[in-house]
Formats: sequence, C-alpha cells, structure tokens
Amino acid sequence: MRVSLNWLKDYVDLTRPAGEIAHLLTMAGVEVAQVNEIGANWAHIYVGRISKLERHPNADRLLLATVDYGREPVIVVTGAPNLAVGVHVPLALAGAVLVDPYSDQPHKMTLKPTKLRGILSEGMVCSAKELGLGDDHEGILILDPDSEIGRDLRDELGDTIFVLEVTPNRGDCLSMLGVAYEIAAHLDSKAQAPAVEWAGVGRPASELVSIEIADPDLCYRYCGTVIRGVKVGPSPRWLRKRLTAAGLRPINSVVDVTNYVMWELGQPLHAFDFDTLRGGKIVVRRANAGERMVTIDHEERELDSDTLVIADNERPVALAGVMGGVDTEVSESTVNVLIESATFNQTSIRKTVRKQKLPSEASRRFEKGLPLELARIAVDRATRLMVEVAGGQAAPGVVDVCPEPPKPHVIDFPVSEVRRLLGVELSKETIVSNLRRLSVGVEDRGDILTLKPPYWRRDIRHKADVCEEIARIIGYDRLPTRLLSGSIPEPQPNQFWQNSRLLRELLVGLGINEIVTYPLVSNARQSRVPQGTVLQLKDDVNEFDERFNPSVEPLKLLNPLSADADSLRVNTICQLLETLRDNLRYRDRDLDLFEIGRIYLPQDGKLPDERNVLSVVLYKNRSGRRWGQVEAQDFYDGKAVASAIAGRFGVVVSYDRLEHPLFLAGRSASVRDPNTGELLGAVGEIHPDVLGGFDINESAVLVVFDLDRLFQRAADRRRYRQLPRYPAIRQDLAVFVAQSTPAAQVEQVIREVGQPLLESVELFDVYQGERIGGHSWEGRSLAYHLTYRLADRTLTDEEVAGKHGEIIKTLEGRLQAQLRA
Amino acid sequence: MDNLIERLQQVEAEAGQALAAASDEAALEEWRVKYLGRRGVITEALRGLGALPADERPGVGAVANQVKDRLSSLLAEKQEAVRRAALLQQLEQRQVDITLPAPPLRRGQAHITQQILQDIVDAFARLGFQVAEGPEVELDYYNFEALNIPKEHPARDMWDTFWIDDKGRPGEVLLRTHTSPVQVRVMEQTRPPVRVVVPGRCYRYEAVDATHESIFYQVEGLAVDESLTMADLKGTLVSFVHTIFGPKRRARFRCDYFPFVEPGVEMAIDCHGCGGSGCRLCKHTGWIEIMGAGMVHPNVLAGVGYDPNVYTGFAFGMGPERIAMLKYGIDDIRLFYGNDLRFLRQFGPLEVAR
Repeated sequence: MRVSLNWLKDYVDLTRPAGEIAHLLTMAGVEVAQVNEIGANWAHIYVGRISKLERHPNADRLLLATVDYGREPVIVVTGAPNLAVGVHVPLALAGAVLVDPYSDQPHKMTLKPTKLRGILSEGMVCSAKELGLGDDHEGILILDPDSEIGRDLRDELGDTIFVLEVTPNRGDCLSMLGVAYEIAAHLDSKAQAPAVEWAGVGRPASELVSIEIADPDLCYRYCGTVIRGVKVGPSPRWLRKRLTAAGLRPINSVVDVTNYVMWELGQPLHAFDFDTLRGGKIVVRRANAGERMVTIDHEERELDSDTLVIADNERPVALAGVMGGVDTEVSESTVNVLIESATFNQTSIRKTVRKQKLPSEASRRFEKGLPLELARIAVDRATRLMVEVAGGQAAPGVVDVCPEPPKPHVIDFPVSEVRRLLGVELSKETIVSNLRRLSVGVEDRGDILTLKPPYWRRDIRHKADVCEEIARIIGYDRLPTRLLSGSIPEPQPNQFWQNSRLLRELLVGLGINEIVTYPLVSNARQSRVPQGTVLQLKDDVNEFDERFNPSVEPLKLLNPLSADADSLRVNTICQLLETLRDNLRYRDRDLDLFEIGRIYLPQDGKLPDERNVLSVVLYKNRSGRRWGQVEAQDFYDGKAVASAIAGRFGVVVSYDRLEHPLFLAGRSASVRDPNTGELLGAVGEIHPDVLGGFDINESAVLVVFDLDRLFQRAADRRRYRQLPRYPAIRQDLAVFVAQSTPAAQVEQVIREVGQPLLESVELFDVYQGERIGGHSWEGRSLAYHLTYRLADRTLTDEEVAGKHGEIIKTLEGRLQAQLRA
Repeated sequence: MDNLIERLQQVEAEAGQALAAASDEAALEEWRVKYLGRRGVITEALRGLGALPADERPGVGAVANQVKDRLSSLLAEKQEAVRRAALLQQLEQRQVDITLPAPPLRRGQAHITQQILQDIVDAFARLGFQVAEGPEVELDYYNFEALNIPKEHPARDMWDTFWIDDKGRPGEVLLRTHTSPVQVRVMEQTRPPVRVVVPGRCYRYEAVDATHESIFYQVEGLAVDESLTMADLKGTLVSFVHTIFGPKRRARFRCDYFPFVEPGVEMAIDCHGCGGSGCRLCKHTGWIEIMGAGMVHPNVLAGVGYDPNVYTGFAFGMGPERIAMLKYGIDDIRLFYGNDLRFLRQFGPLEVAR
C-alpha cells in the first residue's frame, strides 16, 4: 500500500518528520517497508516551459532549447528526443544536485553552466532518472500541462511516499483514512473523515434500477447510485496526481473516482455504463454452470456455480469483486453511470480470484473482509466526487440492499486482563484513554469495560485483541521484561534428539562430514538406487529394500516447484551419492559424508511413516603418516564405522552376508540384532554400476542404519569389572582353514571351547596365499593371541596347555582346520 | 720402593694422557685393558712388589690401589662423557623440519544447520524448554485450522504451501509450512505447564533466492502456564539473544501479526554491521528482524482443551539459517543445502596452522 504524505494531510494534521511517522507505524505493527522522500534533495529546480527549440549550430544531434520559468528565459543544450515547444519540463539551474544517469551507483552531481560545442548551456532539462524518480533516462520528464511555470519543483512534484506492508488482519490500513486513523491514535490527535454528503436531482435511483441479492450468503450488502449526464474524460490534475502517487494509472474521470475512493476508504467500487445494463436490473447471484462472460481484459471466462457474479436481467456483467465485464464497461461515450459499492463474502471472492487467476487491488481488499458500514459510506463519497469531477446529476437516494444490517461488536473487557496478559499494571484511566484514542467506544462498568471497536477495526474481537491495542499504544518496548519463572514441566528428554546428537558427535569425531539434503526428489533420481530381488523366505519383500529403499509409490506433490523435486524421498542414498558426486567436481579430499535424515513412506489412511535413517558413504581418504597419501576405503572401513556406531549405543550386532545389487557381491553385510534377527543396518562396497550412475568412478563404501530400530535398543550397558589380580598366560594360535570358513566361526569355536579359562581372543594376522607353510593350501591362515586367566587363582601351565590343545583339537575336528607350525 | 712408587706415578700420568686422547667406546675399552686389566700396566708394575721387604709392601700396595681407583673413576667419567657425546650426535641426526605441516588428521564437522539448531535448543534448555518434534507431512488441521487459520482465511497467503497428492483427502495433506503444528500436537498430549522447543524442517512453495529457501528449518518455542505474560515472553527472548549473540546485543519488540498469537510480536536485534546507525545489512533501519512471537491465541488454547481464562502462554519461532547467517556473515541461504564441503568445512575446526 503506497501512502502519500500530502494526501494523508487531508485527514490528519501532520508536522512530524516522515521518518518518525514511519517508525511509529512500524512499531505499531503497520510496517513501513520504504520511505520515498521525493524531492527531498531538490533545489534550484523549477517548472519550465519550452518556448523555442532550434538546432545546435555545431552539432547535429544537439538542440538549443529556450526555457521560460517566470524569470529571464534560459537556453539549455540538450540531446533529448522528446521535446516540443510548449511542453512543461523540470529545469535545473546552477547548484542543483542531480543523480548521475550514467553511474551504476547512486552518484550525485552538482550542476554548473557548461559550454557544449561552443554554446553555453545555462541549465539542464531533466529526465526522471536525473531527478531520482526512477530509471527512465530515455527522454526528459514531461510535466503536467497544468503545472505552474516557475514553481519550485518540490512544490510541484515533491511528496513522501510510505510503502506499507499491511498484515492480513489490518485491512483498514489498505486505505488512506485507515492509516490516518492509525497515525492519529499514536499521535493522540484526531483524524477527519472526508465529506460524503451529496444532493440528488430528478427521479430517485430506486425508480431507475432495482437491485436484488439472490445469494445472501455470498453478498451481504449492495449499494447503488445512478449519475446521469456524466462527461467521461481525463480527470482533473489533483486527482491524477493522487492516483499516480498511489501507484495507480489514471484512466478516465469515472474510473478514477472509483479508484480514488477505494484508495481513500478501502472499499472497492465498480462503475457500470448504466445504459448497457439490460432491464434496469442488478441481480447478485451465483453463476450458472457453463455460463460465460468476457471481462474487461478481453478474456472470455467460463464460470461455475461457485462463482458469484453481478448480473443484469439477462447475463452476468461482472465477476463480483474481481473484475467487470467488457459489455458494461464505462467508455468515452458513457452518459449514465451506476456506481456499485458492495460487501461480498470474502471466501467466495478468494476462491474466484484463485480460480480465475485474477488478483487485483479490489480483490485484495475484499479477501480480507470489509465492514458492512463501509459500502454505504463509500457509495456516498464516490457519488459526491463523481458529480464534482465528471459532472452530471445524481439521482436522489441510494438503492441499498442489506438483508442483515450491521450491528457493532461488543466486548466485555475485564480491566485485570491487561495485567494477566501483558504483565503490566495500568490504571483504568490509562486503559480507557488509550482505547479512546483508537476510536473504541468505552462504557465504564467498574471492573469490566464494555467496548465497541470502530466499524473499520474488524480485527478487534477478543480480549486479547484489546490487550494488543493497548500494548501498541503504549509501545511494546515499554512493556516490562522479566526472566521466565514458574514451574518447570516434568523432564521428558527427547530420546531421538539426544541420540542423534551423540551419533553426530561420534561420526564427526571419526572424521566424517555431515550433510543435510532436500527430501524432495524425483522418481528418476531415486531409481538410480537399485532394488534387490525378492527372496522367498521373507514375505515376498526384500528385507534391505523394505528398510532403506522400499518399493512404494512415493508421496507426490500437487504443486512441485520443479520436475526433479516432485515427490518425497523413499531413500537417502540417492542424495548421499549425488552430494559425493557434486563435491568430486571441486576435487575436494576426504569426502566421507553422512546424513541423518528422514524417508517418507506412505501409509493407507494415515500420515506417512517418517523413518529416521543414517547413511554414511566412505570414499578415498588421506590417512596414514604421509602427506598427500590417499587411500581407497573398503568393506572393513565401513564395518569399523558400523561397529563403532553400534558400540556407541551399547547395541550388540551381528554381521551376515548380504546379497543386493546396490553392493558388490561378497563385500557387503547386513547388520542385525543377534537375538531377534531384525535388520538394523547394512554395510558394503557399492557396486560400480551404481556408482557409475552417479558418475563416480572409484570405489565407495556405504553404511546405513535404521535409527529408530537402533535407538530403540540403545542402553548404557557399561558395568564396572574388577581389575585382574592373577597373572595371565598368553598363547598364540595359528590355523589353516578353508576359504569358505568364516573367521567368526573359528573365533566362536575358540571362545566356546576356551571357557572358562579363556579371557580374550584377538586376531592378529590373516594370511592368504598360494603357499602357506611350505605346502600349497587353498585356504587361509588365521593367527590369534589367546589370553588365559582366572579371576580367583593363578592358572598352571598344565591347565592352559590342556585347554589350548582341546581348542586345537576341536578346530581340527569341526572346521577341518590345520594347526600351523 | 721409591722406584716402584715412581713407576706407578709415571704410569698414572701416562694413562691420564692416553685417556684424554680416547674418544669412543672402543678406545676406552682398549685403555681399560691396557691400564686396569688383569694384565694391565699397573698389575705389571706391581709384579716387583714381591721383591720388597714385607713392611714396605702395604705402603706401596696402598699407593697402587689409590692409582687404580683414580684411574677407574677417570674412566667412568670419560665413559659418561663419550656416551653423552654419542647420544648428542645421534639426536642431532633426528632433528626434523618443524615447519612442515603435520600429517593431516581426518576431520569432519556437523552441518552448520545442526550446529546452530543445537545452540538454539541449548539456549532454551537452560530455561527448562525440552525438545519436541513432529511430522513434516502434516494435516491441514494442524498446520492451519488448529492455529486459528481456517480454510480460505486471508492469512493463508502468508504461507505458500506444497500440497500432497493424497487421493482420499484433497487439500488435507501438506508439507508443514512452519513448526507451529507441533505446538498443537504437544498441547493435545500434555497438560500445563508446557515448555517445549521444536526444531524441524519446513517447506514453502516459493521461489528460491539468496534470502529465501523453499526448504528450510525453524525452531518453534511454546510455554503455557497459569501466569505467563508478555513480560515473560520478552525476558525469555532477550535471554536467548544474549546467549546466542552475546550480552551486548539489544533486542527490539514491535507489533506484528500471526493468526495463532495475540498480541503478536516481532523481535529484532540491533544491527551488528552498523551498531544501530543504519547500513545496507539492516536496510538502513539499524535493526534486523529475527523472530516472530506472541501470546498464544485464546482460540488455539481452547482448541486443545486448555481454558484460556485460566492459562496463558507464549510462542515464538525463528529461522536457524537466518540466525547462522547473522552470526557468521553468510550472504546466501542457498549455500546451506548445496552441501558444498568447501562451505560446510568453514564451520568445522579452524585451520589456524597445521
């Protein structure tokens, strides 16, 4: 909403500086986003008139313009293409400060007389840009022909424009008068509403037109007046200037009056060419399905039965509150006019605007809801102005259809509410006087005030609204501030948040970078992460996919911003690899990444299951002791991370072989709860085909965890154990086993048989080669440190030797292992 | 006998000189054998002892032992000196160029948004606010209606919404446009007193530019009790500002509008760029808006079954990215979720020197 300070002065005495007014409004909730002080820096600039125009004797492209400005005429040299004898232009003389039109910066220049090609230019005629009025530097700014020659340009064009950001509750501030009331309240002065009286002549309006509201649920009031014998032409200068200041384009005297009143009072109006209305009748009704009309933008519009229209006896002539029809539009030849001022159902207007994609200054006001009282005030104001501006005679009376007349809203307001909500002690007198400044009617009934907000403040309905009004007048900054006290709720720590934090700290400590990606993706992107085949064993669902990449139809957006982000993700792996790929372009190093993010799985008749997933990718990393050394990471790096995670949360896990096209066969594992067998996560080297889909050419390792399942099992399992009192006996053990024998089996046998003497087993060597120990063997050698110890006494060598032998024998028996000499 | 003593003295002098000349372990050993060994010079010298009269023998013997002791201790000293010299030489060779950078340690860092979310959550945790979270895919009811924003309310224009294609319920399922629906969910599940802080992801159907993201985070806060007022709201938020931005930052409160609070509040802090005098950063106002807030609207309280005549509450919401942008001087919000590690690493440990 553009508010001209000059215009505001019609309603309220304003002597405060513009900056102070802007601050007042902003602090009170009517934000002034911008203050344009037009002409604040102008001096030595006047309204001039070109009296003579001739060619520069020494330059083809330059002109010599003689400019009258009430004193000795001056000659200026100019290259402007749009000058003509008789036009009024801004004339800047020596000392004027202008904007340099050729600088990108807001650079200022001070004018001095200059010789141009041998002829002295005593001044300059200015473009809009040079005056700081805009970007136009194509030609000289041509002033209104009615402007007064010799007038200081500040008096001619100077003004201050406040650009307001009006919040949805303050529809009243979409009007000059509303803003004036607001300012007056803060300055503790009074705003004066404009005159609305007018006198009619001849046959009363009610005999000329009948108005019917057929759908009173969508139209609450419709006021019409008829003006006969108007002369449609350009509006007078004061009116054009006002509309221009408001950012509206002057059109003709009739339309300009309706726009002026809309800006002044906030009530949108429409003017019909009365003679084009058939049957002298206005019907406000829902459109019939399939009905069509052409609006003034010459678009044919198909209507449906939800759309409210203004119709005459035969056809729709306007989309109510949104746009008029071309058939009944006011034109040069219009003689008689019907002015419409109505109150429509705001929701209905909003729907029509959305359906027809036709937002306008009028619909903006209707959508916020208008007071019923205003329709009548505005029609009177417009009728009065129209007669004044466009001539003609108004038919006596307003045809005013209002099935339910307005009644003021009443609020019983306990004085104690101010303390209860604002935390400030105010006397009743202060409360009452603050409310009266806002034009709220106050009836003092002791502890309770009966309040009647003014008709234009439809947002004051509750006690809380009243408190806000009082706070606004006092100033929020002057309300007390105190440190929060009172009872603290029972602690209910958010487990997920806390565990995520621990997980994040762990992974960051391991040197992995956290990323946060958008959950919006496309099917095409997501499908680069392959799904596995269905194993018959498990309910026809691939277990890995079910957790981390379910084959479900993702949730789709009805209104995506782009095709590659039109649905909610069902896996996090796609974006993890995309991020890796994007960072490879920067040749960055140490590209280990993780994300703690959600996947969104549709559920019938319910909101989706938003499942929390950790995904980690390990890529080449600088490690070891050498500068610049970069090493690929493999399955075991991933397994180390997975075990570190499980260990951090005290969750015991087991690893099984995992077959899935996402991973390299034989270099991937599922991570399970060993008790229930439930899948908690997975780790593996990503299949090169998958990586290739992301333009990643070297190996990468993926670790994923279902965080809901992991955290569910989290527990602090740490317990104190007494430090050993008796010495340990350490023995090494190296065995050959077949390639297909998992190390876990070997270790399990050792632990099982070693009981209860065996304290710990530690693998220290894996050797795999064609020849081991002098003879060919197709398996591998595993070497362990075994530590024997008892808590309550010293072991004898014999006992240990016996146990050790038993272990070896069992390994040989069960796993066909051979002792390595 | 004098002869013999002279001989010993002579040997001692000779041995002293020889020892001074020895410079390594081998030479010392050779010296030891030569002078102190079982067949050494002193032993040799004492061969003549048997020829002396018995009463003179102890005297000469004593002298001989003294010489032996002195030479032994000279040897020990010399051995120590040689050992130290060798060690010194060895250490000399082990010196490194301490200006070479240290071999890199692997370093990771939490995403900047997560860091700032944690900072914000911690700041409120001190005041007894506990973390609550909620779904990102929400019902229109929680995102709007229960927050006093009925369907077709003009205030809905404040939140451009992504709608989910939910066949059964058109216009019912959406991506939450703010974290405020969690206020309602929390209140539905608990009774006052309530103090929660809600970090979470939000979505807006709007064009992305340097200051607007269509997907971003918010932190919401809510406190409800029997005697909470605007003064508590102001105190809580001032405390937050001081925790995050330092005790010198000033907070400014003005009226603003959000349908689910009344009175509505907007908080700004004085501009760190100009200290309040006005600059490009603060659009020449001296203040930078960081938060919307207000007293919980009675309709919202009543909607969850809290009696608005008994309970009052306040709520606030902020954009953590904006907080981080102000704190670290970031000028483009799109960097946050571009996940360019060159950006993210700037918020890891400082690389002061390696």
